[in-house]
Amino acid sequence: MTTTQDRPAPPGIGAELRYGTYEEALTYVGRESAPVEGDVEVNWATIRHYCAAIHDGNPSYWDPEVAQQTWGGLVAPPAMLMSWTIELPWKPGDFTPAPLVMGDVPLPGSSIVNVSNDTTHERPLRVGEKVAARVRIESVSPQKTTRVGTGHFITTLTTFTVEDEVVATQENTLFRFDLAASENTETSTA
Amino acid sequence: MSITNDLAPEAGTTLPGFREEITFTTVASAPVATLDYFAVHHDPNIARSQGLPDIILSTIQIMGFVDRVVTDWAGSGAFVKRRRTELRASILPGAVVHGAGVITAVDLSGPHPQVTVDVRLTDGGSTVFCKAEVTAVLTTTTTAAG
Repeated sequence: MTTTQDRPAPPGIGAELRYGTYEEALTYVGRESAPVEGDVEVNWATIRHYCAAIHDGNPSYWDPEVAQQTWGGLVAPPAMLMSWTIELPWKPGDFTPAPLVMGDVPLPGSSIVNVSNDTTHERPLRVGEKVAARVRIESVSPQKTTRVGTGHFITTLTTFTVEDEVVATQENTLFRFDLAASENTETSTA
Repeated sequence: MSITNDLAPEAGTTLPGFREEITFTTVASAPVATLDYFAVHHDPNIARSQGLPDIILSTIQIMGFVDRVVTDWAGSGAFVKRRRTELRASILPGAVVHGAGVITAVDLSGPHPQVTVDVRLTDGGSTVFCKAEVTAVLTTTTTAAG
């Protein structure tokens, strides 16, 4: 078995990637991280920045009275789920950003792109709550070639908790790949 | 103030949808609006190093546009229980996103109606940015069962 290659990620991609072979990647299937709590609790300021960015005028997010009557208090848009568990890019002290868990899986590709997502929400998240996520590697596909390049699909199952309560689960598939040699990928996925 | 409503969802109904122009500001707001610092959402040089023509809209923002197709119509009492998304094409600054939805199923067996909506985010033509299915409970609407 080849050992993990020490190839640097492209500068500033925003994720540390571990490099290795498909055979090494397969040994990660079934592994689950410990729950990691986000650095930023569910908060109304970030909710309003989000709603402004996507032009969401839903009174549940803008009007405390409506939020109180409907949900018993201010809540976050369900689509913000992942926001509350993303680690800050810098913190004081001896701080090394934790890699994305899917970036932990050793593979050859230097690019990642999200492909599909299936999220189930048990209840709205309330302002003030701290959300933790634990991630399990569900599968790593054999090498495939798509219009964006050649690589492997990684599927993860993330369980989101507040204290010990499961508030959401999310299956996500991304493509970890090397760019196709020639043209710009005008239509690669988000 | 009453916030109940009398939505009577039916399968086959087309929802109003929306048209939104995506600016550089929309895309580059990812760190402040979603706390997502992944560089392809705000740094054009890194986006190009990844084979993209420019910075691209983040998944968290795309999911918000998907949900809006349902909640703009259903109102503040709608709770998105499940969202399945397939990300088909990057959304770049300058894009115009057309959000569209059709109700595919209505479940009236609980106290509140539950709707399943087939959602598309497109460029208004043949490019599908995102294909999704959203299941939402209309918590401020009461069924006969409730």
